Parts: sequence; C-alpha cells; structure tokens
Amino acid sequence: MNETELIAHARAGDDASFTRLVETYQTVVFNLCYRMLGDPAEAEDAAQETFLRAYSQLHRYDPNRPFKTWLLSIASHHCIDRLRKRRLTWLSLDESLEPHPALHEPSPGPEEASTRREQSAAIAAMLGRLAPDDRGMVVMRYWYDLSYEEIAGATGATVSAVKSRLHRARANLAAMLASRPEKPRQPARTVVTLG
Amino acid sequence: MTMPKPYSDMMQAAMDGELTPGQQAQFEQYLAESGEARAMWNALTEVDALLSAAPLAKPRPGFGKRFEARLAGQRSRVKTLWGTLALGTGTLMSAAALSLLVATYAFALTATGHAQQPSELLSMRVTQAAVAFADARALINALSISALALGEWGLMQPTMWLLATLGLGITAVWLYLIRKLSPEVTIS
Repeated sequence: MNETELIAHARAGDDASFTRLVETYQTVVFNLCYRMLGDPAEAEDAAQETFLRAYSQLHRYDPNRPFKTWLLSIASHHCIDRLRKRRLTWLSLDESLEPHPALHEPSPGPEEASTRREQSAAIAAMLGRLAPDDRGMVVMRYWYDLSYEEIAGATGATVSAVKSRLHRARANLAAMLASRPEKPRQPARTVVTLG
Repeated sequence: MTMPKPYSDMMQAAMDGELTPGQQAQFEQYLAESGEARAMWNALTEVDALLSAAPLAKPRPGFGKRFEARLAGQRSRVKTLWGTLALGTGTLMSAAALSLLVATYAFALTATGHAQQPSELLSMRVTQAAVAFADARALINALSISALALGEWGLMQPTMWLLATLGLGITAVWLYLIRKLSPEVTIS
C-alpha cells in the first residue's frame, strides 16, 4: 500500500494505516521536535502530540500537499507554541549539552564519536539561541531539504519572509560559530555546492 | 558586520546556488576585495556544512507502540467524558421528571376535590397488601387494580402526556450521547 492509499484508508478510519504512517514519519517529526526543543523527552512528547493532532485533523488534510510537509507544519507550530509557553531560557554556547542518545552511534571510534557529540552539542546550542520561528525554518531547510515555497507553506510565512529569515538565521549561526573558542571540526559529509 | 545590500542579497543567492555566471564573477571579486565579506562567507559555508552533515535524531525504539497507547488513552478519556456527561444529563432529567411527577400529583390531590379518595384507596391497597402478604393472588389483584386505576387516571391527565413526552426526550438524548461514544477500535 502506498502513502496515498494509506492516507485514504486512515481517513476512512483505518487506524492500522495511520500507525504505518506514524512509523514512516516518526523520525522526521521527532527530529524536527528535537532540533526545535533541544530535549529528547520533550521532543518525544511533542512528536506524539503532533501525530495525535494529525490523526484528529486528518479530514482537513489536502491530499494535493505533501503529507510530510503537512506533518512538519503541525509539528513546527506545536513546538513554537511550546517554546513560547515555557519562555525558553536561551542556551549559552558555553554550556555543555548532552546530545540525544540516538546521535550516539556505537560504530564510530572514540575520537569520531567524540567529534560527533561535540558537533551535536554545538548545533543544539546554536539552534537554541535562534528565535523559534527561525529555528523551525533552519531545520526544515537543512534536515529535510524543503524548498522556500514548501517552508512557506508549512509555516504560513511568505516566500520572501522565509528567505529573509533563513538568511538572518544563517548569519546569526555564523556569528555564533565564529565566536566559539573551539570550533567544531568540519564534518566528514560535506555536500554543499555554493556559488 | 555591515555589508551593502546588493552583496548581502548576492551572498544569500550564492548560498542557494542561484547566481548567474556574471553575478558569480562579481561576487567572487567582491570576496577577494573585502576581508570582512570573505570571513562572513567562510563562516556561512561552515554553518552550511555543519548543518547539512548533522544526522537525523531518531526517537527511542517503540515510538509507534507508544503512540498507539497514547491514542487509546486519549480515546478512553473522551469516552469517560461523554459517559459522565450522559450519566449526568440522564440523572438530572430523571430527577426533573420525578420532581414534576410528584409536584403534579400533589397538585392534583389538593386541587381536584378528590383529595380523600386517592389516599383512602392507597391506604386500602396498602392494608390489603399487608393482609394479603401471604396470598400472592390477592397481591396481584391489588396491583392490577392499582395499575388500572393509575392508567385510567393517567390517560386523563395532560401531565402524564407531558411526562411521556419528556421520557421520550430523555431516551433520545441518551441515544444521541451513547452514539457519541466512539467504538473500541484496536490498532494492530
């Protein structure tokens, strides 16, 4: 059964189909929540809540939109609400953050694992200092490779606002990275083509 | 760092790979001339590389099962809510109907001029019932007579019609509320 069929079955009340959708998109949604909230337990709760909301709002889903973008939209709005509610304490770049256990992969050697942890902590700390709206856009852009149009669709902002915010967010991140006493080493997987 | 807007826009476009060859050449020349712009560009590309290489954070195993449990819990809460609402509404309506019945009967006793007759009848029936406690046939007769008397009396009373309508209303509300209770669905 493909995704369209699963969605159609889920809309007709087939819970097993929706569970399969949950299993398909759990990492996508969880990652967004984790990157936005910075805490694995809260991210789990937010991801679960996202799927519950999606389940109850499934009749409103427009099949012409990508399901992933629709889910990310729900997750993003939910995380922004959470961040606003808890009045996020901005994380200091100097703070040592414990990365999510899923990011601790057993296969790499101690040095590589240490580098990854360092990078994860740096990313978490830097993302934590961005405004919630900007943070969501950065995650959608970099982790899911969404286009500006898709991000605009998911967040309700205009395309030009998305571009502007992303540029501002990148500039802020660059400034944070430059101000770090020890920059994280360049990751091995660098696939950015610029210019 | 302050950067002329055209170059700031150009840097943004360069990040997205949207520069034309002419713009690209112009941008590279600008980077070659401006140390600040070059530093900014290097920092941006570093951020870009760092974020692009960041792995997806995965939830703990069993996420789907935990979702199923949470969905079931939520449904249970909804059912409890509707059940409580149904029970509360039913209780209130029953109490209201009973109060109306008692009030109407009391009014009938005092206002119709037959105040003594029903009470005498009731007393007689109670006496009969007590005396004929061991006699099942007598008791059934007494009850039948009472039921007949009550039925005849009730047919002539608009209040009874009102109560019957009310009873139908309560039933309809119950049916509606019970329909609202979502059926148990197991998620495989």
